[in-house]
Amino acid sequence: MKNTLMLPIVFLAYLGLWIGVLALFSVLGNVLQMQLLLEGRYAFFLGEIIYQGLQLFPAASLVATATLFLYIMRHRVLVSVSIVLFVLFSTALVFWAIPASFTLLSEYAPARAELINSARIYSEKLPSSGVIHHSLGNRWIWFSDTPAGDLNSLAVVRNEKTAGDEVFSVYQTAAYVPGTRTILPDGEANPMHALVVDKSSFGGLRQPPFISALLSDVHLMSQTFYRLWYEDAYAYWLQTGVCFFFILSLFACTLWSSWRLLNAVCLFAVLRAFFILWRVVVYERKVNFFEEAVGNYLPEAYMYPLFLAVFALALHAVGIVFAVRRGVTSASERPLYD
Amino acid sequence: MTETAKTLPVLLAHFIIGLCASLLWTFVSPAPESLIEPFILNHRLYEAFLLFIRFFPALMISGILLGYALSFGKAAEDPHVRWSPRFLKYLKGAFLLFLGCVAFQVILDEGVAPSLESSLIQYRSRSDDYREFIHLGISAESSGDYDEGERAALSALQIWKKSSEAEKLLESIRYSRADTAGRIAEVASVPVKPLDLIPPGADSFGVLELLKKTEQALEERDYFAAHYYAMKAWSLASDTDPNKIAAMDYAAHAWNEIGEGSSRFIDSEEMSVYSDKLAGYAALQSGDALRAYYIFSELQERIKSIDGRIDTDVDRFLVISLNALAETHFFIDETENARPFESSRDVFFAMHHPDGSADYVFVRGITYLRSSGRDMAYLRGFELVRLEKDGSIRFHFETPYAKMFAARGMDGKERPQVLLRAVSRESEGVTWRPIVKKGSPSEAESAIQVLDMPYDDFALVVSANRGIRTMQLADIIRFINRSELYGFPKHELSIELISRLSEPFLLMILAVFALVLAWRYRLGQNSLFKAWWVIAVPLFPFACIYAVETVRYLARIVISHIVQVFPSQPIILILAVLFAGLFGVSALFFAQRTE
Repeated sequence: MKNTLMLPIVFLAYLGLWIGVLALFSVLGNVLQMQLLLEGRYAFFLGEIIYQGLQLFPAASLVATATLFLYIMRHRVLVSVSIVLFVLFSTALVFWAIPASFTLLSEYAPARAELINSARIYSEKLPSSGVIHHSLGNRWIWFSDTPAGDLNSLAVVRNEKTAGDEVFSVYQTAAYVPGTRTILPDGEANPMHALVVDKSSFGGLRQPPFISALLSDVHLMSQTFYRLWYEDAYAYWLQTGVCFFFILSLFACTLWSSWRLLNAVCLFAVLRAFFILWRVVVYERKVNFFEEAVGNYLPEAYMYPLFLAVFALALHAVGIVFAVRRGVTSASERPLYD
Repeated sequence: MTETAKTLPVLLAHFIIGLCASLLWTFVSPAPESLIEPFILNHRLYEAFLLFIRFFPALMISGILLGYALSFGKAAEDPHVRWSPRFLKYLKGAFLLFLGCVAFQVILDEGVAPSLESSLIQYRSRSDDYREFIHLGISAESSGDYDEGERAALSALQIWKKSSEAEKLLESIRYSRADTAGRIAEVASVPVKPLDLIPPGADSFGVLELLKKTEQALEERDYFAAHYYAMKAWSLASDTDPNKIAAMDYAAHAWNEIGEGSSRFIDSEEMSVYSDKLAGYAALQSGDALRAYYIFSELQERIKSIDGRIDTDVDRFLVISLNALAETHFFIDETENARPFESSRDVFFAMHHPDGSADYVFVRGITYLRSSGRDMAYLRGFELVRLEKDGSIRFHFETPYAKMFAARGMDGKERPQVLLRAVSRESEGVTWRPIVKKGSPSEAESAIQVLDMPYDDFALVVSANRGIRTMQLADIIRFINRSELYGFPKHELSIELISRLSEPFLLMILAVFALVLAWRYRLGQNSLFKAWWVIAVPLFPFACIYAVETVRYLARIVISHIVQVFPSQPIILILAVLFAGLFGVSALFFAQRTE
């Protein structure tokens, strides 16, 4: 019983953890924010973490609910109370916490825009002279720079030679064009692309692609929920409701086998698959066969979440079958591994 | 059987399956389109090994997680309390296993991977070269430049010996030339001259030895040699040395004899040879080694044509003039086969001098060579920009090829000496000289450049150009304190160095954490491993790949941040954090218990 009563606290801890993790990775994937972090401008960095945390709150709450299954895999909890608590958490999130995060996000947005502008102005400075800088397709070095931002003795190596271009060029002077992040060498008609952000400073800090892909999916989902809340509240309730219904169906993973490690890994795999499925079905709407089958009977707004709900129902059914086979009753305590 | 021994087969199975999967993946995926046939197999194999090395840590963590989760199932049948000595026993065995794996990983990362990566780069660039040579050959043939076309086709054949495309092109060029010239072209007309034709430099005789040699030559009536040795002794002797006067006397005597020599010949051919020999010798004495080389080279051919005769004076002075020439020039034909063997491309670096001036150097391709026990390199498309203290450009020039070797300076240190002028081996007047793009370098500056850097640093700069992440650990350590002189930011190397050094610690931390997870999510006491679980087992290596990559990414961010904030001693702080992490995660393992 003690473990069951710990569930709300564990849930809040997981929620905080996942908001922090998703927001942190989201901010770290931004070149400007990374530069500010490496330069010790923590205020900008923390401000952006708060903004991203609010923005990603819906996705983080889904992940937190799913990872709560890890807790019940390792601790004996009352099944009936757990089910009630899970439903309560989901309802509170869909009807109160997520809309509240949207209100906070709207209120915080102007302050954040100001913060970003000042951060951008701050970052508008020339990288140091005398060292080779890497930008898109080029390597650069200049001897010195003037207070006005002009570059003295600029050398450029073009990594990808285009027709008529020399691989290596040297200019006595060049002008840095603030705002556009470009360099205009003397005698050249067009400015050259040059990142002001000194990417070479954090070469090798490129975010792993699987993290970027996950962040892209959770951003899409959170932004869609945000848009729906202000455009059509019914559609928002339907979509978030279906998503939480799907997440609750992941309890099937806890009963998958009598080996908890296998179940835990499967839980994360299905959770990741859920975000992909949501993007493909609800956002990109790439389910032609389903559209053809039910398109005439259902309005568009309900059709795609319904497809996801069918998946969730199937998983719930699998979960119930597993539970019956394991002899799980509403009065029993989980887990049944030993 | 201990838990570690039970884990070992699972771990080995991970490595074997991982290697097989890497091989399968690279053999199933399409090879890069630009790659030519002879390199495809090796390219696939090396790529597979690199893939295996890349995923080795993830396979290791997955093996540990799975292996220990299975073996802890039995062990946990007895109740375990927190801080039980049995956890120490488990950890001891596990640490030995982890250390073995981490050591193997370091060997793979630092010993094997760099050479495999450099081979892959070679295969790609040589494939590009092959296509470029074929393209060059076709366009040269269509424009009627058969020599150029044949050279290109032969270069392509050097890269791909059995290329039917190159063979056909070569045949076609030869037929085209034969059609034009009315005869069949000679086979293999492209001169493939040995690159080590130039003998080593000057001898190391002292003044007394040279005077002895002079006397000996005078006795043998070898007046050219006598004059040569006497003049050499004279130039070496100090002004207060009485041998200086003796050397001059010998030289004058020998020269008089040489001057009278021409009157002894009656045959006009012999007179002509003698007078040319005299002219060549005079050129050599006046320091014009190039002129002397062409005279003696032509003379040697001429003498040979007269009944196959040999003139030892001519042969000797040809070698001497070649030695002298090699100090200032190289032969154009030395570079003919250099490009297919280039090991680095587009090398760019700066050299900041103590007086505030700087040089920018750009080299399109570098071919290293060891000849007569001496390391040298041919630098294709060598460009040098010299900047004054105020940043103004003093000069900027480019050479089609330059030859570089180590030259010992007055301070005894070896520096890269770059010869900027090349001449034809056969035809006088055919030269490659630097093309000045800006400013006006002096005659000496456009003939030889001694780069202001230790010779060994050049290789480090080339290695850094390939990418700091591909540099070997030892190279990073050697380069880190001098990198800024060459335009490479020190903090980047610091981040790379610390990241490499912290990798084994990170792996150890991850491995111990996997041990904790293996305990927490061990196989149930009354459960047996079911065969169908194998279907889901491949999820583990993937999950571990994500975990390892994420930890590496976060660690690099933390390291970068610490290097920026504490640039003086970042390594101590980072090692302290890593040790604390290892200690913490080990303590977490001891804090486990049976539920």
